[in-house]
Amino acid sequence: MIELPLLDERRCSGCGDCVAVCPTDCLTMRGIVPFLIRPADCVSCGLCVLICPSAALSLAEE
Amino acid sequence: MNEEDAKGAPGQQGPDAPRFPRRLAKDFRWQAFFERCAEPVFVLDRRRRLLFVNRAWEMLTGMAKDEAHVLVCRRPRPVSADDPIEEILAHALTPPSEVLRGASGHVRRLLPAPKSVVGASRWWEIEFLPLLQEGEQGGYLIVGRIRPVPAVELIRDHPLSEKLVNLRQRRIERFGMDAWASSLPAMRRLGEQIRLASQVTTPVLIVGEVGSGKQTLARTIHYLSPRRDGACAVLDCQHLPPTVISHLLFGLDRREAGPTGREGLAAVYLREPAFLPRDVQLLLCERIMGGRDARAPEGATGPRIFAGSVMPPAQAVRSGRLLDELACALSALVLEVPPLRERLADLPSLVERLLPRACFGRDTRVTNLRADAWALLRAYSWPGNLRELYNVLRSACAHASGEQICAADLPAELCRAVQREQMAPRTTDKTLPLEQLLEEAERRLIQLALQRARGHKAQKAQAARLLGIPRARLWRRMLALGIADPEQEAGGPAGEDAREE
Amino acid sequence: MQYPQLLVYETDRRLAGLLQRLADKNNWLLREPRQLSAVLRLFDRGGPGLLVLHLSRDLERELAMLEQLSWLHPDAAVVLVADNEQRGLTSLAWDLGVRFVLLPPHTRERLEEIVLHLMKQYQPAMSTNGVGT
Repeated sequence: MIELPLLDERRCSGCGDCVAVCPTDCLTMRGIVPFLIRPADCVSCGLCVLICPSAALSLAEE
Repeated sequence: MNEEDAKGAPGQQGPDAPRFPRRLAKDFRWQAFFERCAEPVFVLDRRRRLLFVNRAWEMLTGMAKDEAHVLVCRRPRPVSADDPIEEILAHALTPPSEVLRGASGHVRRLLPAPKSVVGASRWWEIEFLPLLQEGEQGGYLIVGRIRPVPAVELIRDHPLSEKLVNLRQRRIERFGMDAWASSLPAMRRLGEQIRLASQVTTPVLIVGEVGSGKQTLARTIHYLSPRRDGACAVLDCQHLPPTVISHLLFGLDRREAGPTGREGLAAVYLREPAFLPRDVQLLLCERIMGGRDARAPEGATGPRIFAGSVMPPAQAVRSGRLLDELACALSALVLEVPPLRERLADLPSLVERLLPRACFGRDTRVTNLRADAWALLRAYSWPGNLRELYNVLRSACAHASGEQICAADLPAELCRAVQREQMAPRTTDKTLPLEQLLEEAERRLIQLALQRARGHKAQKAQAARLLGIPRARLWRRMLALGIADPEQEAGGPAGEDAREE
Repeated sequence: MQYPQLLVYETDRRLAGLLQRLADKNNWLLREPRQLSAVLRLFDRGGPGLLVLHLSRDLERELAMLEQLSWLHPDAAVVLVADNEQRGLTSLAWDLGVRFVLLPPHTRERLEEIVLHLMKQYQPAMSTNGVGT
């Protein structure tokens, strides 16, 4: 079981910090919201969840 | 005389039975008739060379029949007052593209006053009627009629000075079909769809990723279409107040008593219509399906609708953002723009097109890229598509020292992203290299803190405060991770950095 | 994340005055270039943002600058503030890529509403808390 980031779009402010902090570059901005463009690279470190200022991200089992 | 007979043509009212001409039309000398027409008339052959002009034409243009035969009216580029009179006339009489495809066309052209003639520039309204002979080897004629437009009518309809007309022309020319030229089959198909879309008035839905060129595509279609003289507005449904948008589309807003700004709008590009509130979506749907604005004068149609969306319409409907009816109404003609990563074969021509723009204003003109830079561009996945490509080139041109861009000039994130993609292939037993990940996470956090601290007098000190670590540790880690010191790069305060190892 | 720019180009300081409060509240960099070339330079170096331009008598040069801006910086948004005599230029303004044309009355409310909405696309992080907290 691996965990991938899950986005609550209503909370997302489009700041892009999650993309900036991801150590494996698996997130990218698509329009105003982040998008998991390389899910295979995600290591579930949870930095994106920690850094999100509006608590829009969480780790969920895939 | 022939004219007398022609007067007795059926159409005349009278108590007697309609009289028919004694002689048939084939004896009617058309050329003589045209010759004596009050309006300036001309005829072009399929190579757009002048075949015939009448006396009124000679008087209007000041050019004699014998001189006129050298004119080839194939000059869409605008002219200025300095050009010779032949060029000015050739430009004025150039038929627009729809005429060459068999539709009649109607243009308004501005003739700059030649230096020798004193007086205001002249506006001509020109109607073109193409006529095609039957059969494979059919001949092809274009008949044209000129109507000089008086100044008063001009100011009411078209109050732009010559400079502004040329400005608009320059702007329109940035959206030519050459921007979409490609050898790829998907792009070729898109090119055909562009041409088709420019000939009809149905709404067009353009689907493509962020930065893939949807707006550009809409403008390209509009400026090819017969309504090209009217304006095309981009309305950002996500970032404009909804009242503003419904006002511009439908003229509804009883608060607005003054002028609206929607006059003269021939086309509208709706960026992300799924962001419109439901009632506006419903109104838009009714407008498209109904086809006519009840408030507008008889025969007038509202602006032609273009819409651009990142999500395919079915997905937007499923997510609840887009009304099903509106999705159907907009899907009459759907154009899909491929993302840049599916067009990598076009990269050389795209870069060639974008480079002059990217290095505009710099002292050094960048003309090409070194092989290592090309390799990186080809390997990158371009999530931001063409817009990202342009920004990357702009940043690279700022860093390039000579005429060439090398890999070091490209943004660091791009290089690292490519490296990451080229790392060890994915295995089912994915490794989690702790050291590497921790190092990368630390690097990202330090960079983020430095960015947040930008603008502070002591940037690194502030960043250390944000990170909750002593300054000395921040400096040591920046050195170890190879993070450039932004204060040193900007030539920052000397005192603070004096202690740097 | 950079702070987004809000550029105001006008002959007096009226519009900038109207927008000062909003800019402070949202941490936008409010700048008032006095030359057309400065506008392009600011977009070159300062990153994306919104330009509010009040059309003056020098409108041919100003519109020419807008054409260049839309070509060199397609991400930059423009709000054109025009007077009633200039409303015939609205069509051209749309073609040049402006996001909105504001005709009189030029009230604070209308200006703030448009600017607030358009600036959303450039917003940085909403909180200024420390990293990781």
